[in-house]
Amino acid sequence: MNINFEDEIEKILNEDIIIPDSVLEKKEIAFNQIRKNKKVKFSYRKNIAVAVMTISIIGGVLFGNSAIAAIKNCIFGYAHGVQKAVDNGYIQNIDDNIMKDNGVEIKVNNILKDSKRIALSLNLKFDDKNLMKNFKCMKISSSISTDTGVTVPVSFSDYDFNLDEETGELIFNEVKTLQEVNYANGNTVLENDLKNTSSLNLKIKKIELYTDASSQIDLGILPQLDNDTKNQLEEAGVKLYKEIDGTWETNIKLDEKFKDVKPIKYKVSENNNFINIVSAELLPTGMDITFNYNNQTKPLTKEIQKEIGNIILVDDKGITYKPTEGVSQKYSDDDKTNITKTFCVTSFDKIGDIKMIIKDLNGNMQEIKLVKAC
Amino acid sequence: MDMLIKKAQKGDEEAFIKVVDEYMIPIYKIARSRLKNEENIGDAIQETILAAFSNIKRLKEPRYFKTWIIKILINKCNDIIRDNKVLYVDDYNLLENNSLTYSESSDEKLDFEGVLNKLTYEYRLVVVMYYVNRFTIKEISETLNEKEGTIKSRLSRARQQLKAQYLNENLF
Repeated sequence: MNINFEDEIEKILNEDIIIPDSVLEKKEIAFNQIRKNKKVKFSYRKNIAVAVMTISIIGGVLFGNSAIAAIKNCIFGYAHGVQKAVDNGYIQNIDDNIMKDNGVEIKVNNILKDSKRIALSLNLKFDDKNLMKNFKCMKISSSISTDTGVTVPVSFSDYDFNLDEETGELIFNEVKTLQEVNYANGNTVLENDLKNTSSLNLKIKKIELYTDASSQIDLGILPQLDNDTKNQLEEAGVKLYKEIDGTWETNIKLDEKFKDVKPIKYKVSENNNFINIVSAELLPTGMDITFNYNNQTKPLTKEIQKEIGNIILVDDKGITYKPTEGVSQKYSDDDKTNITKTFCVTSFDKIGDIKMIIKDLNGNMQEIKLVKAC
Repeated sequence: MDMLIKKAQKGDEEAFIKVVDEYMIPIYKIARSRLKNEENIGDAIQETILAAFSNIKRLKEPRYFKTWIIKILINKCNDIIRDNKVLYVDDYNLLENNSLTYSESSDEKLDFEGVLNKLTYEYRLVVVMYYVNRFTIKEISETLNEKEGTIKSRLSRARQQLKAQYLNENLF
């Protein structure tokens, strides 16, 4: 009787039970929170960024990194300057612009732009839901044109997303930020175009889907890649499993609020022997400062490059502003390197003078005071 | 499973979700042994999943994942009990007279809920940990931070309660 009793109880306790729907819903909420908050560590973007920088020297267009995280209610959480603009209503919601080709439906949710940056938020929906089963990250190759006919290539390759495997829907709560649009010959035609354009044309040409490099799933016939690309992807911990070519094109009429938004220009209050400020502009989505080191005679060392990421701005109220991740560098004829960093202070912050705290080439901390140019 | 847990520790969210899904029934049973209200059970499980995900890198040995997450769950349940001042009937005699007690003469089949309802609150958890989650006495004692002797004693009392009910219902 004793054995039977124990066996019986054990059997009953281990019978499958139905977990109430309300409990399962809360489990799913937790899972979705985990998925939503994940920051995709897609180091391949670094390689892409290098490739884009190379193009910029040859072809004249330079893009910085975007590393924008979707955190809770933040759309552009990581790009604090862009997020600040959004928080101040500097964003346009887009309706009725669904594009569909080759089994992929794309919708632009939101857009914002100033003369330096464009930020987009996209939804992607795949007819073949199986494509999303082992999805890790993706790259979108596209171009953006102004109404004056200037076109720039843009690749989205670093972002956070929410993925709904059941519906095959991928939601970007953040987008590529176009950081710099200067032509290599020194012209800033595109910058003016961006400032004045009343519409933007987005044309997506290719979508590449990546899975984890260690994934053992049957991926079918893999796209052909050259060895260098294969190695780059392997180093980044991903492998390409699907390329979808197509045309997803939409013309977006922009709100008046984005038109002719003039940057607030800054200049150094006193010249110094260490840092030369080439330009400093405060915009709705951030402050862009281009500078070089006065006494630079050779390429910048890794240590100096690392220090560039530690530069901060301090406003007249003592508030500190950090730079975003991206950096762009251009080499001038006199072997100097023009460095552009974007900081998270924006025209919505209503700042006066601002100090730039930076280490010079000898490792000494310098304080460069910037005042409004007019 | 260990491989999935290692992936989860490296930040693979989907691997983590798969592992948790795998353990959902035992996790639910533990929560149910501590909390009666569905809403509270859901809250405890939701908070446990998020806490486990945030801290999974601290788990030294993947093979202890189940013990580890159950411990988090029990703490979350205890928090809810404390915060909500949830009251449970601990008097076995009261429970005996409860209409929920199992009757062989009825057409109802004794199930997980039925077994739990025959046990007083303090014995439910050890029974579920022992019979459902297959924890050893030592593991239960470590998880609940109680002496092994106390756990043995609770298990023994729980068996007596269940046996008394079982015999009663089978004889009469």
